[in-house]
Amino acid sequence: MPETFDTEYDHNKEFLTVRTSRNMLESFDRRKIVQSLIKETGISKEIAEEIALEVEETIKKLKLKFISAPLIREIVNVKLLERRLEDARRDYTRLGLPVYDATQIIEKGVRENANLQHNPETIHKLVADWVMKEYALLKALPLHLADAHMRGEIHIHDLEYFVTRPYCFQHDLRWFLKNGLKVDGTGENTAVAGPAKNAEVAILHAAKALAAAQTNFAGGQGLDFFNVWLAPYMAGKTYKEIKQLAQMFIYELSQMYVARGGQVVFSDIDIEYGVPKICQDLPAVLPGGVVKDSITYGDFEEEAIMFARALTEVYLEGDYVGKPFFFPKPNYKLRRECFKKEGFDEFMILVHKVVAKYGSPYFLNLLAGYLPDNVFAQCCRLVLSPDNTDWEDFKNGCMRTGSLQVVTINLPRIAYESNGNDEKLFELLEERMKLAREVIEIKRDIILKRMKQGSLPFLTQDVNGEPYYRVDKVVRSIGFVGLNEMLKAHTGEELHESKDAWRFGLEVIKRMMDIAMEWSEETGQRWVITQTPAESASHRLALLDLKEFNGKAVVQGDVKTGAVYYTNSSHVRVSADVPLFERLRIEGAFHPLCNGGMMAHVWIGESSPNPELLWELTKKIATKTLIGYWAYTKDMTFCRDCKNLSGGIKKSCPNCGSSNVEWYSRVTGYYQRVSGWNDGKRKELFDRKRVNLG
Amino acid sequence: MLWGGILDLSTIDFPGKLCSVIFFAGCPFRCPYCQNHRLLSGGIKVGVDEIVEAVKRNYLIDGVCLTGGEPLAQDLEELLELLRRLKDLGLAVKIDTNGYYPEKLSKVLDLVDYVAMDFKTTPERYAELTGRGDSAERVLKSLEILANSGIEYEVRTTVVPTIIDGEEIEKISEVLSEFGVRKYVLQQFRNEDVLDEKLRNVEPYPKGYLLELGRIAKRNVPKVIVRCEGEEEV
Amino acid sequence: MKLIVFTKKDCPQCPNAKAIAKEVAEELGLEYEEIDIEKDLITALQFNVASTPSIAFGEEVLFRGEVPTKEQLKQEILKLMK
Ligand code: SF4
Ligand SMILES: [Zn+2]
Repeated sequence: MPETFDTEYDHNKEFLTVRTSRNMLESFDRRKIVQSLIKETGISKEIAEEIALEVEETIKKLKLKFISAPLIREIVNVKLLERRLEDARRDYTRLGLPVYDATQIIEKGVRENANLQHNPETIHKLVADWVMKEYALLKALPLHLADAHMRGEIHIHDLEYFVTRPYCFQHDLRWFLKNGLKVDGTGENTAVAGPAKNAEVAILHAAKALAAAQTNFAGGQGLDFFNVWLAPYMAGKTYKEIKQLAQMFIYELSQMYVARGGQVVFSDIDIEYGVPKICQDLPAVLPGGVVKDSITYGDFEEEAIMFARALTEVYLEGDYVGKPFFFPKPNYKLRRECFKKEGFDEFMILVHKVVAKYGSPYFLNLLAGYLPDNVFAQCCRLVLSPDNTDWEDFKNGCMRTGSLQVVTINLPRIAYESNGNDEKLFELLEERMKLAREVIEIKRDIILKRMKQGSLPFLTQDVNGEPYYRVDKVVRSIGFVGLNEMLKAHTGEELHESKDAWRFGLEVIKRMMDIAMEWSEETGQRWVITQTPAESASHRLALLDLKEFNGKAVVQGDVKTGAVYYTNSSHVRVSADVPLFERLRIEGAFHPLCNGGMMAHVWIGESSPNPELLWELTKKIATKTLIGYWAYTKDMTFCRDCKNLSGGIKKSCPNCGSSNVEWYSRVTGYYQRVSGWNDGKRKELFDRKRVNLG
Repeated sequence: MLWGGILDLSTIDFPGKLCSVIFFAGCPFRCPYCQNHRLLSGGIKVGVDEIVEAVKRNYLIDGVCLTGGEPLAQDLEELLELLRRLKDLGLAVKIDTNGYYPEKLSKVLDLVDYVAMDFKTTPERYAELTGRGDSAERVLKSLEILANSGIEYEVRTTVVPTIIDGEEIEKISEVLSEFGVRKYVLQQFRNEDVLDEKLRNVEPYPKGYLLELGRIAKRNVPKVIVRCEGEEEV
Repeated sequence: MKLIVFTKKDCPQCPNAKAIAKEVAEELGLEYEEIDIEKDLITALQFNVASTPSIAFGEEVLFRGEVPTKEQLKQEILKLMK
């Protein structure tokens, strides 16, 4: 074994040129392998030299004219593996995608994410996603956690963003109104704006704050009390002017096609009827960022109502061609105090006209008896209960919260593995939750590190001596998918089939909540259980289980074509023949247990439901069930030719007969074009049980 | 009773009330454009209890719409029992009827909150359309009973191209006005799965034309509504 | 069918509701039960009850998070017994 590099071996130089990863042509030099091995993997110089020599031998035998640096690397990797140096191999390997897949992405895009249009920005995003996802699995997560995800025991959401950004966030507009806006977080790369002096600018700041934040977050961006915090800016304006402002805001957020590689911002706003009691005595942030103790939000009741109505009317009108606005998603809060306010009924009928036409509004039910006076609802289904320190922030004008990361537990898998044994099932449940916890704890460290490294500038802005993003104040979300299939596999009955199955299901989710509460006490951080936004998870996990537990796996959809899925969280199977009142009773029972977010979908089959009666229905759901958060979903068919929008999924346009139609339905909470769906989701659409035969 | 099915929640089948819709099987008519022709015969034999059970726990509804087929084709005693039980539950009741059973109608009216009665064509053409020789006479009798009952009701016509035209609507509305009918509904025909196969290829009139017909009817009836995707008052 | 009152340890309204329900149960000869929603949350959830005091008759929740008068309670029960 030669101890040093001996020029005798360097004749390779003369005939072999290397295309390096830095887009240069270099001559082959064995010493480069040695140097890089030592630098990147930390193995000893002796082994590095030994490997380099072997690699050279191998290459020589190939008698090549050119060789690419990545190929040399792979040959080195083989030598590392031959020596069982797996850790070194992991550090030394390359990330990237096969040419075939790159071509697919460039030419076809992917269907996994319903929000992605096929365009140059998203092509870049998808290629980058690929690398970042691989990086997360290979480098950021230890093998056992990466494997747990790959095997489908858990599903780590938004892996492509795992090493760069937290999940979702709810902002406090007052802070931006008072302090102005640095969209890049530092003001170094973009212009710095002072506090908005008039309504137009305030509206634009609100829209831009969300877009700016989106560059630092993976998921949804919300603005609570939207019409309340902006009410002071509407003072003295006519209704027509206010409506113009409402329109401007909604168009901004539904047209800025810029976030995360060419998507709109996943935004949502909370709309209140007037100024709720909890806000009335707070000093108002006025145009110019001025705050006077003598002027409080309670003084702007009328403006808040006018603005709420204006926003709702804009939603009702739809865009220029009559399509619904999908963003920002409007959440309407139902509070007991609203019912005493004049005009509330009329306002809610207007809201339900939007429901009847498009289905889009969401309802947050503060009447159910278990949610506190304010809950923060945003993005897909996150609903958070504030604690004392949140109320402190609320009073100080910068209430903010969010979820750091979501990890979903594959419940049916646990059932397959526990073979009907309850004890084993609960044991595995806790084990899987611990995996999720480990993942989220790693995520915490990563985000802290990124904040220190300065790569999350929007998050590190200073708020009264604290960073805007406080890692230990946001929640850690543990989700779950397929309770229904778990029950079928474990008890032989689906969620809706017996009271016992239902009860067992409640016990499972209660156990999850208890564990999360224990952890919260233990760590001082917020661990919560959430009804997972399961867009791709339910399809991926069902597919994996079908392969792994063939014969035992209970999946929905079409096994032959692979268009399979698990039922969302603790929902009743979408195609089950269960009347709505029963469905809401069963699903509602889970809502108080999901302290990190819940969501029920009420599918409307009627093509033109009656708005007044829909409002009656909303009141019934609010007062007679435990449903905390829900939306009506109306499937729609939009005609590309005559621009007619009609209810239901139709093969051709009822107005002009054209079959050049697009379908819209709700996936995870956002309305999307059905053509952007994965196979599992498309199948689910056709399996749905609707409220009415139509 | 002969059960045809249930729709657990509707916002469009009972004016002003969230309701469940109960379908009964069996009907003496054979209208060529019948959409529920699978309910014209057959059905599952059930007792009043079973029907009550199906709506009793439905906390979302304030009413029940009995339809069919022809709900009044069911046994009168059972019908009365059902209506009493529904009332006890605090539910409002609407009946959709084709008007062929005036005596039964008069006996159930006390227990009913709303009636929607078909007036399918002019009296002269009733027999031909429904397949029953005595239909016109009995329907007119029902109309008279309804008009004098003080109960809330609507009369409705399904506007089937090739069967109903402007002239027809004019004549019908004249008859209605003689009885003092106050609310008249023109329903858009839907060709999906109708009884007479030939009609399955007949395109419904567009809304615009229905509104035009509505304006003709409006000369004789104070309130005219066109019902297609949603409702619109003329 | 049983008359059930859902209660919680520190709920100020609960004693009131219990007293009324007990009286009514006696008068009508009904079985009577109390369920602490903290101890048996799952049963309460299956009744769709999350606030106290709540009163159910059989499967049906008659009052949710409120105390009825004796008359109101009786009336509701009689309606269901028909
Ligand atoms: S009366 Fe009604 S149910 Fe009977 S055949 Fe005619 S349309 Fe059908
Ligand atoms: Zn068209």
